[in-house]
Amino acid sequence: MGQMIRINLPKTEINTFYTFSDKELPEEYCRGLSCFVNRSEKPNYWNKAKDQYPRTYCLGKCYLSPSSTHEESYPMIEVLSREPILSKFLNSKLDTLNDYIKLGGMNSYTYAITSMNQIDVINEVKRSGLRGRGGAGFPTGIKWESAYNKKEKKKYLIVNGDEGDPGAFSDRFLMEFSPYLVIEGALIAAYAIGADEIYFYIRREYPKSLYRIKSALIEIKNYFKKKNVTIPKINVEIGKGSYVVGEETALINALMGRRPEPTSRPPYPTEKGLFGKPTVVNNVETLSNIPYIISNGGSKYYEFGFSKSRGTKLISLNSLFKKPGLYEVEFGITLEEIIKNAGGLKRGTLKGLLIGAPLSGIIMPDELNTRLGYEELREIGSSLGHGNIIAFNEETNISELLYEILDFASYESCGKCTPCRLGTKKLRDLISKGFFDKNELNDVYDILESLRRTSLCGLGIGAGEVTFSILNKYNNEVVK
Amino acid sequence: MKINGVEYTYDKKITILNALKDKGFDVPTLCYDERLSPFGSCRLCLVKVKGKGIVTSCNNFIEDGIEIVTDDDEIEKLRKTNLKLLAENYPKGYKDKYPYKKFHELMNKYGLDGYKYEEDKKLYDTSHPYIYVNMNRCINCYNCVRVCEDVIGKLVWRSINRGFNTLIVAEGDKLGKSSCISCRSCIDVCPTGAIEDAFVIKYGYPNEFIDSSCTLCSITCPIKVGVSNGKPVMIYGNESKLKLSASCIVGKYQWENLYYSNDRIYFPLQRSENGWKKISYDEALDILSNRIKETVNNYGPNSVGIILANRISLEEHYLLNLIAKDVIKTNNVFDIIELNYGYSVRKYLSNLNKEKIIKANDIQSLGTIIAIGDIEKHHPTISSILIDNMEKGKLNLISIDDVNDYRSIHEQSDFYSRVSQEKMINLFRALEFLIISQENYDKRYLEEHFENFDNFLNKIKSYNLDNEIKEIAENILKIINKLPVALFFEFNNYIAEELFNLYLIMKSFYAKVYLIPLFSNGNVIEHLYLTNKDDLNLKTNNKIIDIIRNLKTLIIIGNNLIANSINRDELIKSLSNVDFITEITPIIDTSAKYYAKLIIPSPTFLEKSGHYLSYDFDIREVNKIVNNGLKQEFDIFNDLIIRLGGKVVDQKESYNKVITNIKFINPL
Repeated sequence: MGQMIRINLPKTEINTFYTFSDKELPEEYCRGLSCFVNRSEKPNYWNKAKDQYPRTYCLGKCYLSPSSTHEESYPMIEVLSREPILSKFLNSKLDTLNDYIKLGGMNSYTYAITSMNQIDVINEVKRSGLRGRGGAGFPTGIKWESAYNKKEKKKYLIVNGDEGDPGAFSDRFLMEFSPYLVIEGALIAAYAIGADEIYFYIRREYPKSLYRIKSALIEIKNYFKKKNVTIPKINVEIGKGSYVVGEETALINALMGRRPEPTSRPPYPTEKGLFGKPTVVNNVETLSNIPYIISNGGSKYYEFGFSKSRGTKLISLNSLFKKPGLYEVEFGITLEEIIKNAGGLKRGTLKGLLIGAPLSGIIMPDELNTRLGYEELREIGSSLGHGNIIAFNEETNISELLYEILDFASYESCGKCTPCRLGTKKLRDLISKGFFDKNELNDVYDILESLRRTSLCGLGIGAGEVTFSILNKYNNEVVK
Repeated sequence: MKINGVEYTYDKKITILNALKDKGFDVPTLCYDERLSPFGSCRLCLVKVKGKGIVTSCNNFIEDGIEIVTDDDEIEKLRKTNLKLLAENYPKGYKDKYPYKKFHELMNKYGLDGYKYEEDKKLYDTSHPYIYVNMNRCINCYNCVRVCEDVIGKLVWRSINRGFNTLIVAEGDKLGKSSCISCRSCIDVCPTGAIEDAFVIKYGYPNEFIDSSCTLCSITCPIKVGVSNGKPVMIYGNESKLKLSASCIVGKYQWENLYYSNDRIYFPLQRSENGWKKISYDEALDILSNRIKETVNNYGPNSVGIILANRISLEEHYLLNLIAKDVIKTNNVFDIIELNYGYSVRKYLSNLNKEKIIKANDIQSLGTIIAIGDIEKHHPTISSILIDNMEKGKLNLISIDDVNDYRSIHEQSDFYSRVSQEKMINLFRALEFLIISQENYDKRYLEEHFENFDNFLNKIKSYNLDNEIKEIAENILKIINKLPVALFFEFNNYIAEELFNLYLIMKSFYAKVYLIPLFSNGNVIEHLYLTNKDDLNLKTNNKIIDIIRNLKTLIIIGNNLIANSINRDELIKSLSNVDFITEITPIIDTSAKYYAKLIIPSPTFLEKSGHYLSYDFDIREVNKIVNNGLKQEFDIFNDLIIRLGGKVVDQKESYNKVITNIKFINPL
């Protein structure tokens, strides 16, 4: 079929999809939710973000938001887990591959390819209980296994570095501070599934991540060349400004030079992915856990965390916390503990938490005893997402918040499926007056149900979920 | 599997939607089309699957023990919400004007209407002569984009922008300036009429529909012709007579290329020193009959020849035979199929003729189909029927051809192999070898049918076949697990003989095997089956092209003779050697333009009446849809008969005579 080959489609078709395909701005102001909830700190930033065309959603600087491209500082990195599985590398200054190797880096990959079968690697990952850190939480080992089981010779691994969720900056700093760790994880994954080609897709808002990954790749290629080890071919692609590309089937389309619209599943990427071949798409943080699992064993990793959520997770906290930054926590920690460790809010009282924002349900202050876990968050109508937590206080009006979220959803919707293309816009238009009229509620519920249950991908589903959650939890603030 | 609590079984993994359609459930769809792979953008074909919740049925497959609910209040509500979202952004007024559109039917079913009052003038595009575009009516199903790229292999329809602002636009802004090849598949897949047949817009939606048949290929689909203000504007298949009838874009749209062609002629033309001279029918027929008489007197009757480049009705065949045999007394009447393949094609058919033919409506009761050659291009309705039955799990489909292009049948087959014609012969031999080596075949049957079967057996065993071919053959045999087997064969001389051997061997093994040859180029099957040629000089080694070269007077009936010939260079040489060529044709084609001295206009199938023979030996009626004063071939032949001293025969008499002949169809 046509869709299986990379073709040079007419440029307008592709360029008009992305917001920044053929544009450049001298400075960009972030329109993400983290900057929205703290806009009173630098009102002129928010105004500039609102005036900016095209929009920038999330620069990965939510620890100092409202943010822009022309200032930079680094977030604090805290360890709340028993062992610093990821922060060990985030907190060390890794300037060269040597620094990484001194910490024991690349041992896992070398060990895997010399002393383990592909299936051993997969079993180890299955044993670890590791699940996808990009939001969906699919068991990584099982994903690998199903690609491994495909008979085709050509397979691909894609590293998803398109961390678009506002409030999240964990993938950004994994790539920026320890690119070697990410690449080692990717190499092991490629070995396990039998892929001889790897694609990195990094969003345009993270130029430094792109630079660090690219230069780390050169070092690693040379390193293995000297050791006479053949490693997979590795390509790096940069994003052009689209949130939906982070969805794995959209990402595959983007890499094939097509419009990054998600594809209906089945077929799954592990059956028919990039260029029609079995493909595994893994998130940056997921892969960063792999070296630890290989060198310490899956069962060791499984000891961290609880229930069906195992290991540690990097949590990104926004600038409204006293101590914003990255926190490595074990699954099972309560939200309350996280907030306590971050010193509570900088000002005002906590009105709610957005976890996995923007497209997941809101958590109210009386739900803070919930423990961090995929299922546990889902139970209270939210989801883990990238582990991005945005706290907001009484300055935030819920209707305005909902407008921002729906505006984002409709702006970033690819337009392929009916409910998302038309439903997000309609809900946004209805809430733009500051509330939902009681007479409109039937319509609103119809649309959000259709979004939640019939959308093609997570964007539409999430937009429905968040509206549903807000109507449930803050009904008297949004309905008049 | 269970549908709404009732149990069904399938032995094949088909999509939920296909299973539901097969069982007669009505599932609303907009972005689904049989020719396209599932896309999942409209979100209407929702069903509930136990344990999974709500899923789209177009891209999810049935599984063991799957339990499906097709519609309950919840599903209907979700469908209606999505449909309503589309309706809110759809302009008012079109639903009632064009009620047959898929989207309009759904709006009616769910009690909705377009709610938008204003249209954006910029979204109109009238630059294309055949295709009218109003993208205000676009609901973003992307069917046009997908059919253009995935099926036709063009990139004319593209989408730009994203989200709510997504627009479908023609490449290069205006469709009329794009690289569109006017196939009109996009009209066919558009569920709203945003892309519409320009003639429907120009003359209006038809006010009456008339039964007839399409004669553009040998399937001879029963059709309904929509007429608006005296103009035929729309054709669709009469599915009560033949399922999936006229499901192809040729029958639905491309007939317009002929009917509305700028090269149509409505009066006879005579070549003169100053170009073409307009003359009357009487004048033209006088010229022709005098010329024939002269030729017969001076050079003998066999110096006059007739070639059929297009199909004519059964009645007209009767008259043609009368003219040739009784009036002129010439042996030299040929059709384009004979011209291409020679005498052997008749021999081939007479061998097959003793066997039962499979009617198009009976295809669903077959077990396994092997489609050989480019059936999708030349007999699209047959391939639609095959694919439809395959998708609904009714039959196994194997497709073998050397087509270097996209065909849906490749995607939809259980097994597809693209092999060159040389390799195809080897593949048939490999199949023969594998079947024979299973040993429990009916040897007596083969001894009856082969002149020297032992010789043949030794030959099969001696072939040195490569492993790749053997592997393909093994795969094919694995799929033949349901009987009867039918070989649909787009006729081609090169592989015909070996395929016939394979057919006999398969028959000795599986017993229930059919071979159905189909003919493309001109499709003049009536002549093949109705003209007895056992005693003619064709048996000699004279090639028809050489016979033509020595003619003094030639009558070409129909258009596109040269285009449909597989031996164009030689044919052109022969034609330029003939003194006097008359062409009876609806349009001025290459041979008319360069070789004919006299052109007599003939009607298209919309302007004449009569009976035609379908590939499966049904008699189909063609009715005159438009009366524009064009003389039918039947009348032209009768006029000629009078002028040559024969006796006029009326339609009824010739039909009765020809019908009695059909009972003994034998091409030899």
